[in-house]
Amino acid sequence: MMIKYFYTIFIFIFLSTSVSAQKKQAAKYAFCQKVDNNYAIVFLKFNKAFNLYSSPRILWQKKLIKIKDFDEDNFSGVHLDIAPNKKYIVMDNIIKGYVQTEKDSTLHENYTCVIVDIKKAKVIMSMQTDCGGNWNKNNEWKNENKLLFKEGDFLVSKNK
Amino acid sequence: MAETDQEVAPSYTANPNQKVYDTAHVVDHEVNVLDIYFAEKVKKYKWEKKEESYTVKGGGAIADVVNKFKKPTRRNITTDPNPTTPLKKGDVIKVSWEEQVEDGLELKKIKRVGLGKKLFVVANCAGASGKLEIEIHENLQTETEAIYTNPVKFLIADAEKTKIEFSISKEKTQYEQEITLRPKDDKDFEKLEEKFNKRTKKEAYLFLKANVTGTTDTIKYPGDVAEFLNKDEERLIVKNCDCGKRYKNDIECTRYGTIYGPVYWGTMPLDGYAKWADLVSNNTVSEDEKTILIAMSENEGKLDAVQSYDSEIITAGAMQKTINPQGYGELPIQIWEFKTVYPEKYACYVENCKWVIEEEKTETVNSAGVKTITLKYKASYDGLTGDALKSKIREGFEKSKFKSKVECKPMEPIINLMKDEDYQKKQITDFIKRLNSALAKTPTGYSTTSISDFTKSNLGKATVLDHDVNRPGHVKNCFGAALDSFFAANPKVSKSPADWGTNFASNESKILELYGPLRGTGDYTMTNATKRYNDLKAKL
Repeated sequence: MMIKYFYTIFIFIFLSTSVSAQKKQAAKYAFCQKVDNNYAIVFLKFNKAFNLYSSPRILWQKKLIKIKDFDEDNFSGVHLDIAPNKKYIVMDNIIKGYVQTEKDSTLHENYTCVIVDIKKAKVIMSMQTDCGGNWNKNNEWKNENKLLFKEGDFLVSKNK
Repeated sequence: MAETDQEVAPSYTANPNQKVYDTAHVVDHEVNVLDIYFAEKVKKYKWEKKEESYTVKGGGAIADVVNKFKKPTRRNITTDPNPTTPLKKGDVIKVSWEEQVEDGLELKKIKRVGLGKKLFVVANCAGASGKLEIEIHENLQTETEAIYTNPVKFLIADAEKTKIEFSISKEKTQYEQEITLRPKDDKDFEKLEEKFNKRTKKEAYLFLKANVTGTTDTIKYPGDVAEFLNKDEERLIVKNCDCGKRYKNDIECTRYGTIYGPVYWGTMPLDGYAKWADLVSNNTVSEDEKTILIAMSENEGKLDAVQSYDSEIITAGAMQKTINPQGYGELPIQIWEFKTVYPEKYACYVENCKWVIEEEKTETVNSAGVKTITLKYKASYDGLTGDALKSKIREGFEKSKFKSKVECKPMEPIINLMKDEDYQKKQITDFIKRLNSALAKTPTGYSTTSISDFTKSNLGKATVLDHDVNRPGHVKNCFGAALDSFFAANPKVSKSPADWGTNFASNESKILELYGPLRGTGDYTMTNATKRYNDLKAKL
């Protein structure tokens, strides 16, 4: 009877700790979206006035990896376009902040987006108008039938 | 970047600039001045045979191997063997081709040059004695006021001259001299620039005068006239490409967060574009499109605004197109497209002023052997791009200079370009293209329609364009969500707007009342969406 009692107490404490740890984990990030079983994208900060997130990181094996070439001063919304193969993601890269004019300051904003290679945690391409495109089943980013990004190649790929 | 599945023809061929001139022969007791012209030195090319052994890595056809070796600088690619059956891993193929390689420099005649630039004066002259003297003169053509005092002053090395002298020798028949087309004194040069700027086209027209002295031989000129290039369409056009120097006192040091950088706020709003009437009369822009763009103009940048204070290298124009931190982006594409229509303006405003836009081609071949060529456009200034270029542009922009005017040479030509009426026309036509591409988007959940099926009014079109410019990635979902709300509230209304008949305007208005504010609600993060929508409504 006593053993059963201690066992119940142990399970309760274990579960409480575990749930609390999970909550803490989630609370650590302003936003988190799973990409696949190995990777997630998280934002460390949320700007309430702008309703936008910043400081994105790739979460891999409990490690947070900074995304190379993503400007830490820029922002993103929560709309993330993940490629079908889960290797790439298109996310906002919104330039937004106050700039000093001759007399006072004014809100400056420009919309761009980036394609991030998730495994390499690196921005591999930047776009403006073509942010309104889509991934197709071949993991190509297209806008208005214009091919903008395709992964690797089969036989030949060279820059001239 | 664009895609094509077509073979791209080489943009040049072997010895593309090779010219055959009259061959000069020395005749006893005669000096024959055959030709004198302005030239530049360009690279010369020749074809060289090459071969390489290629080991097949994983099957495919012989065409795949040939494709692997294709380049714009190669021709006549052959393989040995040349099997029609599929290849096997480990097969060794000998590939032979001709490769285009540089073969020194050659002189190429020119018809245009920038003021202050280097060029060559070349004379084809057959003789054995005497001195050939050449002067440069201005022909006013239809102008009334001269820019130059004839003969024109120029520099040979650092020495100011008005005459080029060649000692005639029977050992050679071609003579060349490099000159710089400017007077030595900087103040004289500035005066010259001012005179150029008074002309609408900022151009002057030059020809050459020859004189042979110090010989008793008979002197011959073509048609017995000692003037060269002095006919219409022959004269050298000198254009003053001042690279925007006049804006050097207009660039301000501003602060964005912790970054100090240059900004030219601009003076030309979209609604102030000088040639709206022309664009409408020649059907480049419709009246409705003009109305939509002008209604939006308050929310957009100025046509000639340029800055470098945020994460991008440079941002310019009404649509805030950028050179992104890697040197690519939509501004290089726009400038490249401008170049294809106005190559001389590109040469003057961009290339002449140390900026270069380079086209990069990437070829890919899929398993079916279909080739795809993708194009990217990269900007550089004085050989710099990426972080190095960003640092160069922001050099001298620091806390102590905050709100004061600071010289920024790399930015001056970009301001100059943005001020050009034809470039502004390009910005406006790009805006119209953007409007049409936004309206062609398919709302999420309504796959057989496009947004244009639901929006016929100027207000509707402007609201969609306003969204697309600011959050292009959100338009389809957000418009789809607005339609969801509309149809949920109006379950009896047909999902096909073609059926709406006389109720179209009323239904569209209800959708816009949902869509306008929704653009900035929840996950849709457009700034001041409701206010912007209300502002448009007040104008349209």
